[in-house]
Amino acid sequence: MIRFESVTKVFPGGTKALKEVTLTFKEGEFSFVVGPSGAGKTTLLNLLIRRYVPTEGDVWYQQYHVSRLPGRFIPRLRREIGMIFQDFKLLPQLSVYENVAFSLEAVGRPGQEIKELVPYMLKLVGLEDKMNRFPHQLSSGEAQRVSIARAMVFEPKVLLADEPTGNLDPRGGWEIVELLQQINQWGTTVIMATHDRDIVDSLRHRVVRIEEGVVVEDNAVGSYD
Amino acid sequence: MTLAIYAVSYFSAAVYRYNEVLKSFKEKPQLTVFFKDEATEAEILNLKTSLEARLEVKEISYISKEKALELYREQNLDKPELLEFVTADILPASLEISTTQVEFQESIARELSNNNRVESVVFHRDVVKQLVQFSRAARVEGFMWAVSLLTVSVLTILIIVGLSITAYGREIEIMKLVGAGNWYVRWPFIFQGAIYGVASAALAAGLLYLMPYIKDFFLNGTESVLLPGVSVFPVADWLLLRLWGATTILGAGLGALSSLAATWRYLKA
Ligand SMILES: Nc1ncnc2c1ncn2[C@@H]1O[C@H](COP(=O)(O)OP(=O)(O)O)[C@@H](O)[C@H]1O
Ligand SMILES: [Mg+2]
Repeated sequence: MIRFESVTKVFPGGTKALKEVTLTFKEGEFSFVVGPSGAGKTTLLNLLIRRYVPTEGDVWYQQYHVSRLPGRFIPRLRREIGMIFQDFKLLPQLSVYENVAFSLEAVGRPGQEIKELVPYMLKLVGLEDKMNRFPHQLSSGEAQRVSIARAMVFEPKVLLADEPTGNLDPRGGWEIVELLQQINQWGTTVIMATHDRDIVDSLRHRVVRIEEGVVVEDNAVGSYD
Repeated sequence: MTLAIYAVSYFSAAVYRYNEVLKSFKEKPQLTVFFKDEATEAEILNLKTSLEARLEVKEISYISKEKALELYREQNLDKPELLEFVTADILPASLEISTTQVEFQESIARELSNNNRVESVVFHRDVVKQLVQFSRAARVEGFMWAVSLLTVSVLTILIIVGLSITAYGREIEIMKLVGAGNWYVRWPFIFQGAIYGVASAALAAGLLYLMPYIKDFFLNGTESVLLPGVSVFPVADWLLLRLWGATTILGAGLGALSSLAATWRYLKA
């Protein structure tokens, strides 16, 4: 479903973030991408949503040649491959409800549908009673759940999570991971970059280890070390 | 932008005024025949009757010495010192002749200047020529003013919108990361640019409307240096409304286009 074919990413300035990475992710998988800070995890995920273009090699998502996708298809790609971030990336001046609704408005969904879908999604992530709060009135865990709701309204086939627990306390982190597992069980492919040893070790998922831009380990049921 | 649109409106109004005056001259091709003092009223009226019969002549009217004095008085009411010395005797009697077409003016003028009772013939061909020239000058000059001012305003909008795009950089990035299309991100800025245009057009129309009062206040009726001969103000209400309408569309269009250019420049990738 997702294929990296000898992908090399060199940033302006010369940093080689990924070196000839070849990797596939299957539909329905839950995978961890682990590795020390600066290893290239974020770069890997960003290549998938075309935030970056590989310097060499190709990225495929289903039949789409992501690394060659014409610009006008990128918004659609990013709705099929949702992403959540360590810093949540919520819009501070919008309420919780609006943060989820605007992306639907952006694609011209009818108002009635938005009015039904947004509360439904927020209920799913357990925030139905905080719809009118603003991001600064939320705990970190709650903010991350808003960003999950925002990604999930498009029913993406893939959800990328870049260190989603990085800013959370252990308990909040676990809540997010459980939510991601739930989402995975509903059929969404989940790829989560993390260096949270406890989480990786407690769950029996695939673990891809990257070090200095190279995949050094890839175990179907792995652990952090 | 307001200034630019003001210039567009001002020169359009000027061109319109010139053309109107021109039209009135063309519609009513006129020449004036001044008679020598020895010409009697009977002789002049005789000539008038014979001219009236001709096809080239559309209208003809006799202005006697007394009538001329009356007109002169009317035109110089504010200069009583002149009026004291002017009597009906000094002023020549005249015939005002409208020809059916401008081209006939010259032949009639030539013919009449051969008449030994005629002092001189004045016709408006020169005035027309001059007006055409002024009108063309107003057009060219106005166009240049408008283009340069509009260029400045387009650049200004580019910068302003560019700045606000930069200010919203993070928000824009987030929107795009979660799959918002380019147009969704763009249109508020395009709207912003269009609003500048519409507001400028409104301000310019207001300025155009108020200008005669402002001018009165500062210049006390001094003539426009830029466009001699014809006064542009006050702009007729209907013309003002039309100019306002046209410049609103122009302003909105230009504003939107400049913002679009700005979004293109700043929203890459
Ligand atoms: N936008 C960028 N410009 C230049 N260098 C970058 C950029 N993003 C990441 N890098 C560099 O690429 C390497 C990999 O970064 P990243 O993928 O963010 O690592 P990780 O997410 O595993 O911590 C690092 O050396 C980082 O400094
Ligand atoms: Mg990272």
